[in-house]
Amino acid sequence: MIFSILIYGSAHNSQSAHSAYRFTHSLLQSGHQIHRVFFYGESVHVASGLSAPPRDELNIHQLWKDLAEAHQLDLVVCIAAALKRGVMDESEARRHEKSSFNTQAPFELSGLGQLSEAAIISDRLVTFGA
Amino acid sequence: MPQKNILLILSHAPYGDTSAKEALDVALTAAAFGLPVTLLFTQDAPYLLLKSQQPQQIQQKNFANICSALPMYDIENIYIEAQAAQTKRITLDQLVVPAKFVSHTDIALMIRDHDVVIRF
Repeated sequence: MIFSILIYGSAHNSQSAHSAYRFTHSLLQSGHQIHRVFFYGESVHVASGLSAPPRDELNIHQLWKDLAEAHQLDLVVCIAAALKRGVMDESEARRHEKSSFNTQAPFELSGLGQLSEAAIISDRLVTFGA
Repeated sequence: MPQKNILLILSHAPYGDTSAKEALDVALTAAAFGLPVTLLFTQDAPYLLLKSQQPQQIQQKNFANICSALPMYDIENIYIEAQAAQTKRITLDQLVVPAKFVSHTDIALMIRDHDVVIRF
């Protein structure tokens, strides 16, 4: 089956992004196809490469990055939700005249249309809320 | 590609967090994609539809403006959890847009009958 994943729970203050990670990992191991993972709301902070948790705690950014690179996942971060929270890639940082950026591939900033498209294409859209 | 319909279930009050705004943004984008959108307002979400809200006093944008524009985006299936409206004493004439009350049984059927269900 073709799945897409919608995450909008807090990146660091809820289980949401990690549950979604574990679910996505299981889907891949079971031979399912992941069309897209869409980060919305507070979950956009997962895309920030500047998070530096203690070594004995989970690094949710790194987990998603490694999984995406191993399986060529399409990780889309809602651009409106990201920009207002200070999550931006190099080109957005330049456009908004910011002195630094904190996200890059495999995370990609794009619009909510990518969520609608994922809902249309996928057999299942599974949401991980707060 | 088969046409899919989408049900968005809102449950948060309008201004305490960004949930309602995010849900409506998804609704408007999905409608722009030509997807038939149904909105269901449960728990504290019916407050979004009130004519009498005055968020300018806390420097927020008024949801009444967005909600009254929903029919222009072809979003006309707007439902309210009857029990939630009842406990808040919200009546249909207080709302900015035509809506219908639904029971919990109706809600179960709505969830069954939609291809995509997203809860906010």
